[in-house]
Amino acid sequence: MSAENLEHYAPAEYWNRTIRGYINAGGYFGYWGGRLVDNFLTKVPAATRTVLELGCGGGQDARRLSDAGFEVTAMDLSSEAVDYARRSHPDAAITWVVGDMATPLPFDDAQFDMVVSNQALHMFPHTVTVRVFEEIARVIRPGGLLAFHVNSLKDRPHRHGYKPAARELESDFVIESDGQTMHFFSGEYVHSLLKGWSEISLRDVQAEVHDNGVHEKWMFCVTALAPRGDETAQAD
Amino acid sequence: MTSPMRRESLEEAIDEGLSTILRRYLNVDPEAELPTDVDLVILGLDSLGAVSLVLELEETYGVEIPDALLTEASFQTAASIQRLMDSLRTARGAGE
Repeated sequence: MSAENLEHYAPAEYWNRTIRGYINAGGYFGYWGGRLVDNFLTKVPAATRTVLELGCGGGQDARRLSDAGFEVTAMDLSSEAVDYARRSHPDAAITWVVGDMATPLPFDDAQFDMVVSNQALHMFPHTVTVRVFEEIARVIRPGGLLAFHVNSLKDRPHRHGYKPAARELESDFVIESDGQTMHFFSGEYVHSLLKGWSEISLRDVQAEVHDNGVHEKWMFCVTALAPRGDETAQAD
Repeated sequence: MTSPMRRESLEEAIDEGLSTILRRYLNVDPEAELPTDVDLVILGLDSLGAVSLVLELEETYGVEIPDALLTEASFQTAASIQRLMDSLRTARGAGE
């Protein structure tokens, strides 16, 4: 059996343990703090009402979207993250869901006007990543906006500097010493995942990460419109 | 998700000696810490290596690993092997 066949990615237990660390340390959940949402809010089509967020973590982005007037469903693999998010935003009308986006999503076809994911779609090996994007294409309505941030290939040397890769499991997909899995996306890779989507936009976003020092961080902010009926060659 | 606080999530520590042995059977970057909570198959352990690993552990630690303990659970991660070795050495110590 090869590691490649295992389709391994950091499990819920990894994220529960990690999130417990963030909560105990009291600092993490304010860090990205909904700011990434601002990179694509201006692109949201006028008719957008329902939004699905995949990988909601502490729920700041979901909160920001909810405050902006959207009807938000927010999902995370970690039950502890979802509990924390629910506790932190008791006044927000957000539907919180514990679920693994790498398995069939517990939502109807075309249920959402928009799908959002910040720094979460890059946790999976290639075959799983493809399935995640197929599921996104299924639950988003035709013409709906998909907006996400992922670590780009440009981030790889910076990240390895403070979080070395223990093993490269696949091309550009590594497992780190604490068990986190990370897939670095090239522009070509993003485009390959969005075949059939329209108005695809990729933008380099630079940020910083604090991890025993301050480190340079590079992401792609990606937006695209879901295939419409007659273009959905691969989405049915 | 990335974070400024990830060092707070602690994994179980394993002995340096065990780490050195395991690395010989795995495909882990020598510059990186050995992941202690990750399935050893993910880290490159194959079935042939697993057999040799058991023999080397028995020789190095001076213990015999009973068949009943040669399970997937006890050999799944570096941390589980550490626990197994600790318990076998404790058991041997108690019998002497």
